[in-house]
Amino acid sequence: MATEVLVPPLGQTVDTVTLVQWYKAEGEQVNQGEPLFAIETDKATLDVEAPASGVLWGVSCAPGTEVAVLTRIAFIVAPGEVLAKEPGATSPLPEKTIAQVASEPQAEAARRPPGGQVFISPRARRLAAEHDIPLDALQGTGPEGAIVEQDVRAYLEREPARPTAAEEVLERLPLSGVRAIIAERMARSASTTASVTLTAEADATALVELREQLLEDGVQVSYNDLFLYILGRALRGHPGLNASLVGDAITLWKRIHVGVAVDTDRSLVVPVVRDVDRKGLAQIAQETRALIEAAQEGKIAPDDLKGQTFTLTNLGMYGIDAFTPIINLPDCAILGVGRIKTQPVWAGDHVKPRQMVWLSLTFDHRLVDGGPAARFLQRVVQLVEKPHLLMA
Amino acid sequence: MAKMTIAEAIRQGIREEMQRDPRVFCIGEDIGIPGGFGGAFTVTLGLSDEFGHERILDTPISELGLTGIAVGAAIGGLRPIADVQYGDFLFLAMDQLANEAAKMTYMSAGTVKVPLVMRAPVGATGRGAQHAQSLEAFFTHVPGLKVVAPATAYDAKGLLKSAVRDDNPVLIFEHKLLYGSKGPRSERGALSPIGEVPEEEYLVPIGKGVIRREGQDVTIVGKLLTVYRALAAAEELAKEGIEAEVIDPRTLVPLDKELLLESVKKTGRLVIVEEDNLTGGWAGELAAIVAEEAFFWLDAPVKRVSAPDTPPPFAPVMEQFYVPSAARVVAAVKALF
Repeated sequence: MATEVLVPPLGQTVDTVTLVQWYKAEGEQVNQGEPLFAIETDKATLDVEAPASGVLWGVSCAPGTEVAVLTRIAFIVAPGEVLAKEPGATSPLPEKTIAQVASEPQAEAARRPPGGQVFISPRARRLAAEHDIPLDALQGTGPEGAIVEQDVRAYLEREPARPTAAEEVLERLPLSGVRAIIAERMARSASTTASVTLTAEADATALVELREQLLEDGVQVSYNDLFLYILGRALRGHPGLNASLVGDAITLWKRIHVGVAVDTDRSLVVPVVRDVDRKGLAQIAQETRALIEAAQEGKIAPDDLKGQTFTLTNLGMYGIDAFTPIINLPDCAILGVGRIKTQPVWAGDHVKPRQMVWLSLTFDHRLVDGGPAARFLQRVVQLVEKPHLLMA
Repeated sequence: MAKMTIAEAIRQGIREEMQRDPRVFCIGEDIGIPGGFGGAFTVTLGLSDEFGHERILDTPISELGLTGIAVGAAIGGLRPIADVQYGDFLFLAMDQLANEAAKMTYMSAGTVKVPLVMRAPVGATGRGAQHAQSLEAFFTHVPGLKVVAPATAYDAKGLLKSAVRDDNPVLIFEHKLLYGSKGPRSERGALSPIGEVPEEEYLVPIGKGVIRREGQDVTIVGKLLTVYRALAAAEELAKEGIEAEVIDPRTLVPLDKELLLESVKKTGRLVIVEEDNLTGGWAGELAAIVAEEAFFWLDAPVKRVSAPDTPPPFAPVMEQFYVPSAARVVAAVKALF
């Protein structure tokens, strides 16, 4: 048991004294009755004897410090005994430990309340561990103040069972309705297709400029509209990507209908813009805008949500660079568009700022091989970088 | 079913074994002399009339001699039941017991059997330092000896019969205050553990303990007289809401460890009560077993309630102070809560 080293009371008129010096160092053996430290009052300097034998520990008052009488300025502990660091002590206890306690885990020491050791019975420790109860939450009532089984049981009765993080529920949402349909389709896509995602970076500077020009000239187009237009033209030359598995047959479709993934308040919906290869940009823009508005309002006709042969998904507005889209069955492929971002790009010896975009093409390897898919993506990149080719 | 004292039950057990097996005989001091007590505590009273002096053999006062004869007879094929008047005199026979009886089977790679039974009264009963010791722990320390300590008439007879049939040397320690409180040799302060003893044949297996009282708050282990002290303490504790489980191992070697460990795992607390001196005792051995094998089930330190490390005092008042009382057991238990 630790003995407190106190500044002795020195009569009724003395409230504070100045600590002059310690005769023993922290960690040093002291014997009861030998001078331990010297203090100075306004009248005299006097030595104070060690109140017990043991090891000087937890010195919290440096020479020259003014200190109130009856303040605890150190402990004398038995060799091997360790004391907790006490929050709010006038100065932090030194980090060094005496040899016998060096192996004592720090966490163990920190768990103990100020002023001494806390014992816990093996049985109580075991029970507390089973219920994940921190030991400092327990109040010991056993022999010598030890925490015993009963204290742990009392805690368990007092405190409601504390669920682990995995058990804490914010809300339970039934997997039903649209969510259930999405879940089923996504799972089916992920488990039945042999999906591969190709990514390519395209320089969209010209496309960005083109859109700005169109806007300037009163044609309201979004990047989605431009990509729908590009996809219509690109897919025309790559019919293998405008395909579905129907029964045992890979079926290449004559017409090109592109679904556009739209994030609404309710859920993901994919309205279909039809015949994108045969429509002008303004018409595509107008139709797409109408479909997205209807989708946002929840008023979209069921027929407008089916029949796509390819799907476009754009997360650029959320700052996403690249991702791995899931194929929208029964399509063969889906194109993911990332954000358009100004990046330094080498142009010969110079670095120039360019508007760069990552394109992510996920395709079903059952229907098409990596080569044709890559060539299709290459064509898309080409049309993004050189939109004038759309006219060629 | 007959009601018997422990002395009567052991006598009946000896009688049955002698009737069953002609190789069984008794050897001791004043166990069959005409007009005698039948040993120091009446256990063999009347048996010389039934079986004759050739099977109830009286010897001179020489414990080493009679034990040597018994060990030799056992090696030679007989099944002796030897006794000493006071357990304290076993020290005289120590060489025969610890060096010969205990080690013959080992040294002969199992070819020599020593089916010896040695009975010895123990316990402080107003007879001073040389007639009052509890010597069980000395013999639990010797490999090759079995040690039993019956606390009831039923167990005394059943364990004696098992001991006679065992091919190893078995020491039976009997507490003087448990023989019975009636009759010419009854001791002052003796209990009357008169119990029902079946007339039909039965054995109590060596190595199996019993729970004398069930409880869930603390395990108290006693042996011989301290079983009764533990039971009395348990009744006191129950008044304060502490339900003690009282265990009587009945056999000290081999010990029924499972019974002990299971009980401690249930209660989380252990107090061992014995009349022997504290240091190097049997209580310490039990405490060590529990510390090694059930440490994480303990909710409080293990406590030993023993006699202090002095010889048993002669003065009755001092003897009362010396021998663990129920009150001391109660205090020891309460210190664990």
